[in-house]
Amino acid sequence: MAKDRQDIPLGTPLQRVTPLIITFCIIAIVGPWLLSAYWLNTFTTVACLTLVSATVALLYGQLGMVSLTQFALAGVGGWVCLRVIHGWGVPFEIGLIAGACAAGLFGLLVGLPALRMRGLYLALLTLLVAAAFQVVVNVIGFPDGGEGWTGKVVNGQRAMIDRPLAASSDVAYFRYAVIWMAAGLIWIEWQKVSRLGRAWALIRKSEAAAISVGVSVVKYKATAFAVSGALAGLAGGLIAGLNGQLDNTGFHTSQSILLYALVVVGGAYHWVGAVIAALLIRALPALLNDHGVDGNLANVFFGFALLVSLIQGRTGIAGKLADFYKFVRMSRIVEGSVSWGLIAILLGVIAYALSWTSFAGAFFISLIALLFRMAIPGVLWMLLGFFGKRTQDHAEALEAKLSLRLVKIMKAMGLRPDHRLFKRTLNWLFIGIFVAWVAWGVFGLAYLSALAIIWGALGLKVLWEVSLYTYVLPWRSQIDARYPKPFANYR
Amino acid sequence: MQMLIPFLVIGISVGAVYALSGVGLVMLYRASGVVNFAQGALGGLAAMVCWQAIELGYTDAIGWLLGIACATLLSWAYGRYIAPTLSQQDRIVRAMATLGLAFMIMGMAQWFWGDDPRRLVLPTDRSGLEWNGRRLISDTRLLALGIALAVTVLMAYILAKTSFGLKMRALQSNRMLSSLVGVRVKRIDTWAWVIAGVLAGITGLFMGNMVRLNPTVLTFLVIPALAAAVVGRMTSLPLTVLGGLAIGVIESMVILVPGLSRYGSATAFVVAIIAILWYQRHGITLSRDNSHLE
Amino acid sequence: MNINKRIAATFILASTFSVGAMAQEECGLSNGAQATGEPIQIGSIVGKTGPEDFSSSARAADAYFDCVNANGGINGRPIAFTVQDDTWNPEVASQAASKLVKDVQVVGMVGSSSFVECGANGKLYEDEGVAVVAGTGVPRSCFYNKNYAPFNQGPRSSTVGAAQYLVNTFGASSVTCVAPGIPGFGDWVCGGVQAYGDANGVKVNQVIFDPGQLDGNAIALQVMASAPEAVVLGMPRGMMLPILTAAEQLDLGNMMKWGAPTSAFHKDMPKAVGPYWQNNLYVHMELEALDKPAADTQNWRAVMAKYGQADDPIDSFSQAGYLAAKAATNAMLAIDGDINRESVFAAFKGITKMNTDMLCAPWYFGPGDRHQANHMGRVTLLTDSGFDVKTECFQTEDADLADILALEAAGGLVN
Repeated sequence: MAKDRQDIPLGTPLQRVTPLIITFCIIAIVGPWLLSAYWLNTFTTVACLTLVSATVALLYGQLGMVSLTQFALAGVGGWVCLRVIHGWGVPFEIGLIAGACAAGLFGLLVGLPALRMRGLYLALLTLLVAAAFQVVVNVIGFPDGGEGWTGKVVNGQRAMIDRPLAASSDVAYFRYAVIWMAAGLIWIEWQKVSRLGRAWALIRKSEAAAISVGVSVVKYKATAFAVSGALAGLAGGLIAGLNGQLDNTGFHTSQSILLYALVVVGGAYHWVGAVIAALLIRALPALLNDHGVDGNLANVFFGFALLVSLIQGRTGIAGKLADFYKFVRMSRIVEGSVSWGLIAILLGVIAYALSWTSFAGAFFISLIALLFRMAIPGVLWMLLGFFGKRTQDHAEALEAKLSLRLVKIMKAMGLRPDHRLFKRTLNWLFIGIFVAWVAWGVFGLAYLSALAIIWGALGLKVLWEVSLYTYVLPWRSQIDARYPKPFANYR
Repeated sequence: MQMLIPFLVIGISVGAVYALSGVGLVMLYRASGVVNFAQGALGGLAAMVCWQAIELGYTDAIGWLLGIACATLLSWAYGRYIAPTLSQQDRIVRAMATLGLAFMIMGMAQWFWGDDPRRLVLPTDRSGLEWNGRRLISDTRLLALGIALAVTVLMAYILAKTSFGLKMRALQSNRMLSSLVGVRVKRIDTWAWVIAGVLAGITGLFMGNMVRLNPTVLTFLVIPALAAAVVGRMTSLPLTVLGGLAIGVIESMVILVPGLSRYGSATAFVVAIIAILWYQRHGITLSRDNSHLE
Repeated sequence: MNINKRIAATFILASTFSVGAMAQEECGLSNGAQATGEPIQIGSIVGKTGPEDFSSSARAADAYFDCVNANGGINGRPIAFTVQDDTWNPEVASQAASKLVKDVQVVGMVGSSSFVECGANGKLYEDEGVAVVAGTGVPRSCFYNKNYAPFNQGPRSSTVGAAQYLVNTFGASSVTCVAPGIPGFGDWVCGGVQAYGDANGVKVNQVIFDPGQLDGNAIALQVMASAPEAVVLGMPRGMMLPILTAAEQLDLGNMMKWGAPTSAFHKDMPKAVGPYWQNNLYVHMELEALDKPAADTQNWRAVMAKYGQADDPIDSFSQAGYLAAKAATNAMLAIDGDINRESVFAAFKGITKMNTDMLCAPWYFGPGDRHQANHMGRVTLLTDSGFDVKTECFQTEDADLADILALEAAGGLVN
């Protein structure tokens, strides 16, 4: 069958969840400080949806099962959460947990027939369930404080549920959602390398083998469905808490399908993939909306990205990133974070002094520019791969030819030739234009100042490399000798 | 009883369109092992192109042909150039890739045409069969029923009696062995995509006329068609047609049941879910899924 | 973006020019001086991408504000108008609202029209003290919001108006109300017709269908099964078309009288429904005709011609957006002192007795917990080229209006 399947991920549970904990601590602390209210609200939704996409990834990545009903399960969770809170006036957390339990049960119910079902039929079954859920929720609607078991208000104002006391402000609720999301992701990550995950991996490899060594296929598959249902339901409750209510228009079948597609794009085998999927489904349309670009074009992009990532092998963007990190040395991380941090702080101060934008904005833009400098060539290479190996070769040959010509010209002009100049210029141009466009939208920064910050950051980094390299090198080899390739086992 | 007849007739005609769409799905699945989620989107594109052509002043016939041609061309291009790059993957991956195509077509069409109120009018709309002094069913619906039955018979004939059909069946049971004995896999595959494109185009025109001329709505009409195909275990043409008709009739009859009428459009899904569970309970394999051999 | 829209708009523009009655447009101070001061932030949320495009009213408000800015602004200060698309998704609507209210710090909202926004953002507007002079409100929550006042009647009142006309004019003794089962919409709309029927001895059948319902036929059959003398379609116009098509195929148009609320009042509608329905469909109109030879209507057309985009639709949504912008502008011009959220809130809420020839009665924001100043309209007959006005302005007999009418009777709002 497919070649790109992975066995049990390596590393101890603690090793695996540490980067996750660190990342989300940083996000929870720094996020509100960087983001405007609009983006804070958007990213709170992204945090909730990350949990939903993590459940899709769990079923697909761990067991190879395609579930197109996870968004509907979030709807079930949200429905029960609202109903419980409106009906009994219980605290928010109890509603959340009730929603999660209900969705978990529902997920189990959907999963039961799937226990003996092969991939495609499971996908179809879950799609049909999602479609049926949409019809039902369209008729009964989400509870909004009215009478009867549907809890609908017939005449009057919709009632909202209150957020938890500790998280009533937008900033606090963002942190609250991030904590729930991180807890969910950490639990999944922990299980991947524990008993459950090993059983899942064996079942995915061969059900016959699993049975022969006494692993109960029914039990572990059912657990996967129940858990993914419960986490999706939890996310539904969190979304309900964010807005105080839910609306049936938000739970269309297309959303479930789209979420699956984007999890494949993001990468189903790694938690970063779930984050990327949630960013794509909510933050990208928000960005386009901010720029006044027609939202329908996002669908075109999603379709294309899905095709590309399926053709490229199914590890998605996260898989590509993980491939890259496998070879990263500790010294590079240390040097990188020091140099990136210094450059970003410097530019942040300059931009603030010239009153272009806030310190945080410029800091963030510089970091993105530096990140892109590293990632863009790889991404382009991946995209070219979509058109086949031959296209990649052609592109490479063309680039080599142009670079050689440029080197000749430089030699003729008496300059020190740089065979990577052509590639670099293209990269810089692209990053400048693209990131400045994003910055212009998100931070409302003037286009030219954004360009100045971005190219400033890239230039400073090159300067750093050129001027300090000889001093840094011995120090780097010292670190590498002590901590060799820390992520070699991490995927 | 007097009251039931119109509902029955209308149900059958709607079911016929589901059946037609389902037959397109089954044909493609049998030949190439791909469940085509883009069937609805291709149909939507056909309907929109047809509307645009008529709007620009071309005659109706040219509009229909253009619409169907567009759907066919796109389906062919996908089957010829993109589907082969995935031929080594699981069936599930190949099915999901068509979702990518569906999103691309839907996004483009929605972006280009937007959401203005419009109608796709067929000349057969204005005449129809009279019963008790009332029009019982329009000719458009009769035509849909006729085409669905004719297409099913034609496809069944092709599969059973022609060498092309034989090769298709060979691919269905084992692609690798077929290629070893000299079946030109890619060519048969491509033809299957062309057939699927034509059927998607025809269905799209009917759906655009009867349901709603809107790319997004038409794209997601693939789900009831899938339900019909699931009833047919993705393999059996007669069962698919029966499934489509049953879904159409039940959907239409449910309207008369007070309390249930609002859940009518869930019929297709519920019927298909019951079918899946029933097949499973009785140990009937859903189709000869040979993906593990490939 | 959209060829047909553009063609249609050009056509309309051309016809307006040929009438030659283009008045000099009047907006705000009308002094011809470009406003240069510190901008006043105003926001708007519309449902643009989604099942239907509801951006028309914000586009009209945008054109009007451009005109105001070219004519002295708000005492010299220009209006900065930010429009957000909620993509028919309540989550996105609340994101958009937090952007406008918290990031942009708008002083008020003008010209919004959306299917999801009222429900999603009502609480935010209440908490933050933002008043919304909306264009058109659609679902129930738009009319049951403390700080949200639209210019239209809403589908419930408008559908009741259409039913009322069919009952009074053709003596229909049974009416079937058809509406989509969208929560907070279908039951609410048909509930209004039901209440009207109960009060007037008319038998009412409700056909609430699933908006995902694939076949207009099923609905047409349900209508046929209930065998009424009149039918009203309470829904957005995109959903009407398949039902009308199916009804045409069953020849129901000649068996009973058909009525529709304002949503059918759109320049493309006669062409879209086709010849069968021309002279066969009565459409209630909550604002006045698009080409009424009266000062405000002509001024709206002139503003749209000069400051609007070529593809801005000319429809009743646009009228409502124009009125919202005009009401907001006049209210802000009257503010004595600093223009901030508090003063604008008070000014918007204090709008009373706004006379315009686009509405049957004066408009006001109103002090109550819910707002629906517009509850009078006319009925038109859809013809081959447009709409024939059939009645004078009449009061919609919607039972829910009791509180509104009581408030008006207390005086000070309309007279």
